This record gives sequence, structure tokens and C-alpha cells, in this order.
Amino acid sequence: MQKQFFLTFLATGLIFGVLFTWQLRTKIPIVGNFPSDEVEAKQELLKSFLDEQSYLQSRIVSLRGDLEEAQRNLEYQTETINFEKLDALKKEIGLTEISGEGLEIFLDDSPLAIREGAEVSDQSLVQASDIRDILNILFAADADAISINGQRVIATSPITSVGTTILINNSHIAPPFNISTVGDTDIILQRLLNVNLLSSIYEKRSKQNIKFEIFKKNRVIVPIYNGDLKVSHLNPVKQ
Amino acid sequence: MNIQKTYILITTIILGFFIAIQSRSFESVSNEFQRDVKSNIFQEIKILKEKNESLRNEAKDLEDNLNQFADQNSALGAVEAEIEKYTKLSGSTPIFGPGVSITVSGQITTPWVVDLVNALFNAGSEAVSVNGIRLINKSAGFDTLPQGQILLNGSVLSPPYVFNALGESSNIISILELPGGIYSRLTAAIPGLKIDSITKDIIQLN
Repeated sequence: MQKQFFLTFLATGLIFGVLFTWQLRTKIPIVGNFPSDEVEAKQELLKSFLDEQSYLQSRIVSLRGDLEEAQRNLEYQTETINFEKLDALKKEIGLTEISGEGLEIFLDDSPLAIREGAEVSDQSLVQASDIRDILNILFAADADAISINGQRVIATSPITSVGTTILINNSHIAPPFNISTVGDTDIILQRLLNVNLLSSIYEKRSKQNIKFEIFKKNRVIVPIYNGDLKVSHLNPVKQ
Repeated sequence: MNIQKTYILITTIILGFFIAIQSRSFESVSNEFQRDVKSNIFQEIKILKEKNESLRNEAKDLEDNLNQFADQNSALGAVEAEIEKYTKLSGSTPIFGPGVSITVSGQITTPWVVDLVNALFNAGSEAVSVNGIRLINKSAGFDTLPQGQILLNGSVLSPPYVFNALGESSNIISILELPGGIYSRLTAAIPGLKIDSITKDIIQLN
């Protein structure tokens, strides 16, 4: 009887201690009086930024096209400028559309996954790190050009996430993710099919049913880079 | 007998307290191991705001550039300026500028090198090199050799890994050192790893 009493006493004390500590360490989220209004306001704010972003990106592509045309006209009038050098530089830094034999890679969340409100660690979602790993392989395999969902990716393009939102060049992109690449398909395929190089993606594909498919294409088109190019801290070393 | 009961009660409360703390600690440590960052609406809006500002500036630069084509002399100047800008970006000639030099002592894996480079560009770096090799479109990918060594542009990278980044150094450092940022995730994932970063007025990338 006394033993039973002690055990009950012990269990009660233990549970009390756990609950007490949990309570002390719980951070109470600060919420507004009208949570639905807040969600709506957040969505509207994000939408206005994203609308402006797509307008600016299209404007940049259009201006680069106009500039290209103006340079072509100038090329006929003068021989003092090395336009071949300019064209080669544009190609090197991603300011030329590239087409040719390549691959299309499809990545998508598990069919049962819900991205909105999910934890970043949710293994049924494609994460920014998965995309980074694929792009790293493509760059290492000397791909001529890469884009994701129609957005050109260059060496300086950050691929990040804020929660479950994925940002490429700091622009939002949503699943499904379509990665297009032009290059030597045999070399690229060999790397992409190496389970050791993409262990996280292959594991998620087998356990969580995320979609990861690769298709060989005779012709893939990768658009020009539509972001900003910063050089304000770069100075040429005089040779 | 009552004193005994009181001791048992106090002991079990303390035990419960520690179990709860330990459980929370496991939770926060596993979050640190993640390669991606937790959700933060303010950060999301800040990023978009800054991105749009950069895009507006780029569009304005292009408009100004285009306006110079009204006159042939200024057009020639605009094209020359464009060639100079693209030359700096292409990596075809050495460049210098202010920035951050980061030394990582210890063995790291390819995914973490990829993540650290990504964090540097995300923090506003305009050019980055790893162990003296500048990252441009032709040399940006890291390979993993069968023994685990990291290969960049045909060269095997050996520790210490030195990352040089040109850009606004105070911004870059503050972003890397954020709680939950790349430094804390890296050191949580690889115990014993040492990261030293210093700002420099002049760093040259070849």
C-alpha cells in the first residue's frame, strides 16, 4: 500500500515538474486581434512586391534587348569598338539566350505535402538545399547554361529559402520546379544519376515520394539572366 | 516519514525540469542542423524590398545607358563602359576591392561548401574565390571525389579553406553571423570546426 502511494507520488511529481518547466519555457506568440486580417495583409504585401518584381524583371529583359539592338546599329557605323569581345563577355556572364542539346529536370513535392504553413524540415517538400545540390552538380559538369522555372541561374545566383518559400536570385519560385540545362548530357546524366552525390533527394524520392525525373532533350532553351549585376566593389587590376 | 516524502517530491520535480529542458535542447539542436532557414515573414519582406530596389537601379542604369545611344560619341563611351563592367564580372582579368576573408579550419563536406558560398552571394558578395579559385560560370561547381575530397575547377581543395568575398564587408559579416545563420549551422553540424573571418580594405581575386 505504502509502495503504491510512493509510486503515485513519484509519478505526480515528475509530471508536475515536466509540465511546470514546459509552461515556463513556452513562448506565447504575439498575435493580432484579427489574425485573418493579418494573414490577408501579409499576402497582399507579398503580392505587391512580387508583382513589382516581375514587372521590373521583364523591363530589364526588354531594356537589354533594346540595348542589344542599339549596339548592333552602332556596329555598322563604327569599327573602333570590339563588338565580338562584347558578345563573348555577354555569353560568359549569362546575358545571351542559349539553346541546344540538354536536359529537363523535374522536381516536385510529395503529392500529399502541403507547403503552406509546413516546417522547413518537412521531408516531403523539395528544399532550397536540394536545388542547390542539383545546380552545383550541373555547374561542376560544365553545363553551358541553367534556368529554373524560366529564370536563368548564374554562378552568383543565391538559392535560398525563407521557411518553405524558395528564392532564386531573391525572386520567389513555386513548385513544381523545372530545371533546364544545356550541355554535355552524358556527363551531366552520369553525375545526376550518382546516388551518393544527391543522397538527400534520392532518399526523399524513395521514402517520401517526392518527384525527381530527368529527361534528355534535343533542344533546350535557356533565357537570358533577368536580374541585377553588381560591380560597385569590383575594380580592375591594371595590367 | 513526511520529510522523506518531501525529498522525493523535490527530487522528482527537479528531474522533470531537466527532462523538459533536455527535450527542448534536442529540438533546437536539430533545427541548427538544417541546411535551410526557418520561416520569418519580416526577413521575407526585407529580401523582396531590397531585391526590388536593386532591380529598379539596374533598370535605371540600362535606361541611362540606352539614352546615351542618341549620340554616337556617348554611345561609344557607353559600350566601352559595358565592356569594362562585363570584364569585371566574367573573371577574365584580376579584380580587387574591399571584402571579407574567411578561413575555415577543419574538414568540411561539399554540401556545406556550396551552402557557405551561397550564403556569401546571398549576403551581397559581388565576387567570391575559394582557395584562390574565383567562382565564375565556368568554375562554380564543386565535385566530390571518392575519398571525400572536394574538387573545384580541376584542383583538389585542402584545409584550411579560404573564402574571399568582395563586397560590403560589414553587411556580409553581419548576415553570416546571424543566430541561425550559416556560421551557427555549420559549427553545429561539424563539431570542432573553426571559422575566422576578417574584413579587409583590399582583397585581390585573380
